[in-house]
Amino acid sequence: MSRNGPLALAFHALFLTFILAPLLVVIGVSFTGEGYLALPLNGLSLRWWRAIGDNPRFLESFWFSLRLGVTAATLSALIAVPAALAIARWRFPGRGALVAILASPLMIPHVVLGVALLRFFSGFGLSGSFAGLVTAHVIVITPYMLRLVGAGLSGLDPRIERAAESLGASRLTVFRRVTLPLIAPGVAGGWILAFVTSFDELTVSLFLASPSANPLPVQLFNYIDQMTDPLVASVSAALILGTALVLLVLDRFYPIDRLLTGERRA
Amino acid sequence: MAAPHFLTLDRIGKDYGAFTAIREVSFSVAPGEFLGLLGPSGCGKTTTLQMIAGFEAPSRGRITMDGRDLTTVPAAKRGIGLVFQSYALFPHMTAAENVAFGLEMRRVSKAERIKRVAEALDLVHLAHLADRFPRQMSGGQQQRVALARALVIEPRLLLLDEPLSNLDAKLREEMQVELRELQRRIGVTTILVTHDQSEAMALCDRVAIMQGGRIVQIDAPWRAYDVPADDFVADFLGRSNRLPACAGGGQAEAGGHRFALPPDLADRQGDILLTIRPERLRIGNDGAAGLGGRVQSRLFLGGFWLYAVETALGSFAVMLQNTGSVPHDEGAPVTLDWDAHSLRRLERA
Ligand SMILES: Nc1ncnc2c1ncn2[C@@H]1O[C@H](COP(=O)(O)OP(=O)(O)OP(=O)(O)O)[C@@H](O)[C@H]1O
Ligand SMILES: [Mg+2]
Repeated sequence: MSRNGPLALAFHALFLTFILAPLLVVIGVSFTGEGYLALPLNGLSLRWWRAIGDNPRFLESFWFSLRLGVTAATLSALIAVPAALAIARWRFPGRGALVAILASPLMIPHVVLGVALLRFFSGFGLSGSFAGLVTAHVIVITPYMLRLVGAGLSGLDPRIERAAESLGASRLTVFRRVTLPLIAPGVAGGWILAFVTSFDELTVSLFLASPSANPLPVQLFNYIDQMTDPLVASVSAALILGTALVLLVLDRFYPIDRLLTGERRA
Repeated sequence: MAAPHFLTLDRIGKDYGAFTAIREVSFSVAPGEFLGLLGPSGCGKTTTLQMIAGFEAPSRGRITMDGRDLTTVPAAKRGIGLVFQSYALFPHMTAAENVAFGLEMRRVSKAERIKRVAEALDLVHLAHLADRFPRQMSGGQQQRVALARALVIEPRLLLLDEPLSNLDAKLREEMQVELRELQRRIGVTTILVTHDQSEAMALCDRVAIMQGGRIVQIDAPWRAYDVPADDFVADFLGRSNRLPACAGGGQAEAGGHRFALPPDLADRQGDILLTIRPERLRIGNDGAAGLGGRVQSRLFLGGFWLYAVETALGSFAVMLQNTGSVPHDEGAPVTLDWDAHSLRRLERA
């Protein structure tokens, strides 16, 4: 790896500052004892951390978002892996259209997508339901999934699969024993990116949520709309620390930088 | 007894869009035969092999193996051992796991599998690297794993796409001998693709020389070498000298030298293009009968001397066995001489 020049160093420093500073501020504010968002702190207090426990709707929303993210990311993987395989391996009529359709959610503003899905889902009674949100999230996150799985596949020599076939493996066995293990890092990276995107999704969810199907970002958004006490800070801080912990543990078992580039073991 | 054919390619052709990679290829391979497929880069060797293996569908023609039409038989069911030009090892498996894969697909018991994998790795001198991953091996070692992986399934037909191209000279020679021995021992019908004409000639029962998507000649190596079908084959299978001459009355004249023609060319009249291999030429001292010239350069090759002799008809390569006698000096005037039966007429390609 090449050394950073002074300009690059300055860039990295600024980048880290702007990314990290808001997070640190949020974490700091969450330890206030006051009834409003205060900085600097005058004394540390766990008042607003305890308040999370007194507000079951945040916990409910947290679990709801977790379920939503896991379900949507997994469904998206089930769609993206076969789709990426078909796109990478075969030339078939409608291939261009398939690529365009699967990538289109990236190009449509989420507000437009939210309104459209709301109109559409109302017709099926899907709006305001878990199923509706899952569907919407799958649509939003699949382009990311597809890109990472596709990156993993493009690094895979089709002759390796042919070799397996010539040794007597059926198409399914080739997929299970050769293709899948070799693109697994890409799929895992795609899954994580998709999950994070879903967990974080606000715009589309805002249109489709209901009191019984309320993802955490929507819950937080609505809460801020009505009140500005440091409870949002402590909830956010809990999320930040929780995520950091998960990533730290994950990194021990599988280096994240490689996961996100879909790279295979070097 | 009709010659039994194990594998037959019947007027096979392959187009990639508007580009014709294989124009028309027909040949048959006898059971247990070792056939060499030889030709310059891009002539269609790999494509031919891939069609036999079942990974490319021929655009025209039919392939039969053991009397059975292969058109509808998927690659996995052909029982063909294939070594790819690029090895195509499984990067997430060790050498031993790579070799074991085909046996697993055949539901060979674990104990038997371990034994046969060990034998196969032994065969290619890689027993000590059984637990290495492909990325931890050199190109030559990977190539040998690929060979072991194809052999261990005891295929009915072995297709080798330049399997030794990445080995150093000594190991390649060793592997050539072993490949030949192994092929004889297990009697597996084999098609070997190679760039290296000496490798093909050393190993194969017959060689097929390809050019531009068709087979120009298919013959025993020595016949293809001695009686090349055309200019291209003559040049491809080692060096040859051209001798443009004027024929008449069973004789010919070139550069002021008159010489006899072989019986099959005795009735030729007029201009004729002859060829002669470097090892069929003799060098005589100045004044002896023959084509006059001058030693331009000489290379000592251990067992041989390789001369370049400049004559009125151009430069001739001459290969002389090293018999311990004093060689002709560079710049010395000499004559070239040959036996009539060493001359071939070249079909203009
Ligand atoms: N998938 C393909 N699409 C289009 N053209 C192809 C394809 N595969 C091969 N060709 C062309 O067909 C011709 C024959 O290719 P092939 O790989 O059989 O050559 P080869 O004899 O094996 O050459 P080499 O000795 O370099 O391996 C080449 O001109 C090549 O460019
Ligand atoms: Mg080739």
